[in-house]
Amino acid sequence: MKRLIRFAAFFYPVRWRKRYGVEFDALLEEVSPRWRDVFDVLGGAMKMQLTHGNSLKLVIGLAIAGALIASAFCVFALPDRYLATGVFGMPEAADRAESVRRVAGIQQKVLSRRSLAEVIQKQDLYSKERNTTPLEDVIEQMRRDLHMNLLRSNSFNVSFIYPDRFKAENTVNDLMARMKSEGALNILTPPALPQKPAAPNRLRIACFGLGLGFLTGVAVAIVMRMRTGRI
Amino acid sequence: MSDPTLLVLSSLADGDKHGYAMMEDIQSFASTRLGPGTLYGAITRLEKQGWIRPVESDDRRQPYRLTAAGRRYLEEELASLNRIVKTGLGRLKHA
Repeated sequence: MKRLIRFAAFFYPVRWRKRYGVEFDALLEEVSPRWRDVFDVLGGAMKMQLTHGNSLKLVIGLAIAGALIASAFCVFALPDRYLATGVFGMPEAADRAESVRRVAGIQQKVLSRRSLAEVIQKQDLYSKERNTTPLEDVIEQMRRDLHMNLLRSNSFNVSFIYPDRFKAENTVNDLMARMKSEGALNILTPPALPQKPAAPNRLRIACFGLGLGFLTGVAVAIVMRMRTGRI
Repeated sequence: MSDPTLLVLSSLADGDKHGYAMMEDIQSFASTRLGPGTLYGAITRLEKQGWIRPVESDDRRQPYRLTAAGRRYLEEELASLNRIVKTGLGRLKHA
């Protein structure tokens, strides 16, 4: 943590660091570091850059702040979600369009309100959401978390993403059993217990934060230069 | 009250202090923990305005002292706050 705070202190303007750097580092060595100190020091550096500094460091600093905030958001606000997938085989169709029609027909039956309501109850899915939102909304949520994709003309997969990996696997098993009874389907690959979360993509979100911070930094730098008459 | 300017000036009112001592002092009398960035932002502003000045020291920790102008500013601000507090309390009593 102390290293991170000292790194954040690097974003103070050179002129400011020449005057206050030694005593500021001495203070950073003494304080018991907290997460909010990282943002406090970064914020202080940004303010100093606005009043005394150069634009490049401001842009880099804001980009890093954006990435840190996005990463912190990922860690604290977004739970891990696990993807379970099973593969079905079906009799060879005349063409791809016929296969798509067949899968769509199965999908329609399995994703019906009644069918999904039964699965939700049986697998005890979305228990928090069911306490606060109507069942219709929960079913819509499940439809968004459930996907069926045609792989070849004679096979398609069923996948479900959920925060509990055991429930994700059981739900795909349940859905596949229901589908099997709907037509001449055979299970090629049953779902395996997911070992690693499939979402959220923390790297992508951190990169998004980095990009957003960078753009904000550029915008602030332009405004700053306009105010000082350098543009 | 969380204005870093007043907190730093109040902390220096009873003698010279370096950054960490100010943080500890402010925490004890105002129950507010100023982060290092906020504290040094205030110190930079106050020194520029001539309300505090660094005191010679061999230590890496730089102590600061309240100047006469800083003392005057602090007295005026505290007197103004005092009037607000008295007025507020008086009105609460009669409400």
